[in-house]
Amino acid sequence: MGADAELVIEMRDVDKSFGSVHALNKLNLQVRRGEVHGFLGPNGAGKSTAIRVLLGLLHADAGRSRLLGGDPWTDAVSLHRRLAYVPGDVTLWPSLTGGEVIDLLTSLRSGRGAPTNAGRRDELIERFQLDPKRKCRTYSKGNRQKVAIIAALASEVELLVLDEPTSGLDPLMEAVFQQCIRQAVGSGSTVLLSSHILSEVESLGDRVSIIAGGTVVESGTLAQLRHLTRTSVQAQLDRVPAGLSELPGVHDLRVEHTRVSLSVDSNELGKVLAALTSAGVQTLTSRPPTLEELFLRHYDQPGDPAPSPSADQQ
Amino acid sequence: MSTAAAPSSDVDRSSAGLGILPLAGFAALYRFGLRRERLPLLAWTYGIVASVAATVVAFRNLYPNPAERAQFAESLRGNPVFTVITGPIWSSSIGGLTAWRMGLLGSALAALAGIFTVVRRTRSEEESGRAELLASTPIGRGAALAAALACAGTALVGIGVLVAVVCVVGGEPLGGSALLGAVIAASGLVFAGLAAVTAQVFDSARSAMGAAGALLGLSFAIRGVADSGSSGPQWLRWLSPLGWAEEVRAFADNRVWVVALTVALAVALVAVAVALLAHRDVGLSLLPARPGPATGRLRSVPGLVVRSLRGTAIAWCLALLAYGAVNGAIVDSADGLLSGSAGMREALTQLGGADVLTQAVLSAVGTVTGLLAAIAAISVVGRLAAEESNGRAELLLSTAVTRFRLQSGYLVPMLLIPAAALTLSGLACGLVHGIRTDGAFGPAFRAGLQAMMVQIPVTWTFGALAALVHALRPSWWPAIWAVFAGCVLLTMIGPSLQLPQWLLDVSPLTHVTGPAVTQIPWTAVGVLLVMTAALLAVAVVGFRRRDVLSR
Repeated sequence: MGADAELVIEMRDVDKSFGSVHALNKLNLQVRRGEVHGFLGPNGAGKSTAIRVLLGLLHADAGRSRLLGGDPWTDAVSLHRRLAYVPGDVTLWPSLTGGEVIDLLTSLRSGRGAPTNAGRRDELIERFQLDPKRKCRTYSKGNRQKVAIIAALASEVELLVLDEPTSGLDPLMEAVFQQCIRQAVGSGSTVLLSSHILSEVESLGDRVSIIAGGTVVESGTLAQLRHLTRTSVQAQLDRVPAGLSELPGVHDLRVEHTRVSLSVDSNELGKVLAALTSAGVQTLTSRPPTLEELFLRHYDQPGDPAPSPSADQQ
Repeated sequence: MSTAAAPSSDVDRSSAGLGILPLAGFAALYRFGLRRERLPLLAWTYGIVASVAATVVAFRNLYPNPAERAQFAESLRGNPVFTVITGPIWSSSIGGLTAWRMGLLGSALAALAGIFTVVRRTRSEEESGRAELLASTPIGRGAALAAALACAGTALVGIGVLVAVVCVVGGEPLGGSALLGAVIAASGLVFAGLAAVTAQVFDSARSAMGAAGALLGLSFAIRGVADSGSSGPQWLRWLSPLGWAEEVRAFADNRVWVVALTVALAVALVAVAVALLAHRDVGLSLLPARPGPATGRLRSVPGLVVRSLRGTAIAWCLALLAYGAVNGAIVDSADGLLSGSAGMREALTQLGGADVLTQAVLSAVGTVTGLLAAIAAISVVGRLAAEESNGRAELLLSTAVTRFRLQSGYLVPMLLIPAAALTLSGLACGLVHGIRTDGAFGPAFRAGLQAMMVQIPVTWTFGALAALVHALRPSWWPAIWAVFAGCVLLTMIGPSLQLPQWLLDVSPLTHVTGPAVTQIPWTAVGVLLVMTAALLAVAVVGFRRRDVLSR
């Protein structure tokens, strides 16, 4: 019970098929209270399906899902009072103004009565530079997203479920968005942030789950995930040592004259360094992989191209 | 590899085309438009051409000899109630009667086809953002509008040609046949041109169609005043493009110059649209959306639904109210009018099944009004289905809104709108019918009111069936219209085909048509109400149990 209590989202072995398409395949996802959980995956990986199961919009075929201590399907309405959702593809009512939609959504979320804190709403409208008097049909994608984001943040809820919320925002607005998320977390909210904007998750996320083919393939803190992965090494050498590509754990080898770049599984790093050193190192840089590299590795489905003899291709 | 060179040469050739607006990419957009619109355009074509053909055949069978036709035409000329709706009769030949029956109606239908096609190919595309994607490719600024007009024009000219062919095949003279086809096509072109203008002026497809449709209605009404009798102000006809369609007088005077005038008007309207297009930005309009309130008073799903349905609801109520008044004025004149034709009398009696002809007519117009109201009921459920398929239902259901609350937000108007519209229609029909016969609130009033109100359970059954389809198999939604059309055909045509009663009973309509005017068929009404309740109950449970569709 003690360990469970701090889990805001818990999905265990969740399956969901649409006809012959397996959208979710024994999906496991745990989000702890108070964290920003990055939910990474390309289009079609099952992110939105998982989120829709959590929102009680889809009924899972198998497995167990818990959300804020309740069942997302049977307790949908009471749970929805405590969360706010920003869809990836926001469609609004063309004849309503942005301000009207914000007030409608916040009132519906609270269940009844006033559309929450008007001061907070106005402050958010100001910060996101939204013109609330314009009809939704005149909004761009980014502006429609702002409406949904403002409505979500104005609600001051326990859990924010954000499905690629910033795909239409410009970098300035993305910065505002990140500030607002940090503030929300500071005041105790938990955030599930699905994204393929990796820098966003990198700067906001406490923990990350990577989803591919309807399954979470890896999950953990950014530090833990990097630990599991390779190190990127670039070196300027006196000469290129023979058999570098045959060393265990070496991937993506590129040789350009005497300049070598490769990535290596962390547990094999020592042997590679030894080989490089013996070849006379002039410069050497090594760094942990960016999230982009993590990401690409997981979705490079056919597997890594074997370090080929034509290693000197550009 | 000639395709690689084609675009640039296109630009060069056609940049001079419309003077201010380059037409590069026109051919591709035109083919694309025809492909996108092929089903609606084929449906319009079939509807109009088949109606003309059926009219020719019907007049041949109902009034085979000229004396009968002359008597029929004479009785109509003296009856403003009919000429207001269908226009004047210029000749009592079979062709002349066909032109009277289908000239105005066909022109109005062709006008609708023109309006829908042009707005869908222009403003709808801009509104959805698809036009922007296309505008970024090497396509001339005028190409989309030109392609839309060409699509509509192709279909309208095709309709005109087919109408002429059908008449000639039916044995009518070539000149009149060609002119009837021409007038229908030309009227369509005028309103296609008008829609091209409104599509520039308004920033939403709905407003553009609404404005063009309203002007079509106005045209119809203006010429209706002119046709309200021999004493009517005939010159008014010249203020309405549909009045021009009448003045062509196909099969009588065959005035070609009026057709030429109509085509000239269409060209002028297109020129206006082109001038407007040249001066505006993609996606914007001459009348930009006005800013609205920064804060909202909408707090609930019912509030939201009322806001989005109120315009539609008022339009349905007013339309059926007016239709009811017209029906009330017609029913009592039907007896004298139809005595000329034994065939038509028999047909109507079959349709309604009443002994007294007036009762049969009242029952028949009640059925037609009920069908219209059923369309309203199904459309309201259609709005719920659309709310789901466009992703807004997902946003609503992610808040503290239950499935039932969202669904009932639409099911309640599904019940209320047709009930209100039919009641208003019944009151209007009964009042007018009563005033013309036995006093405002006598038995005639009751008969008129009952003829309309007895249809309420029928519309509910169809609405509930639509709700069931949406709740259980949303992907089958279009099938509800097929079911509806099937029921209409069963009830309207089934008896004359002498289909077995059990098959006729499948249609909810069958149970309240017939001698419903004098006596309310309580059993049938009861059965339909129970069915409605059962269907709605299953729909509510079903919608709660299924997955919500996403975009």
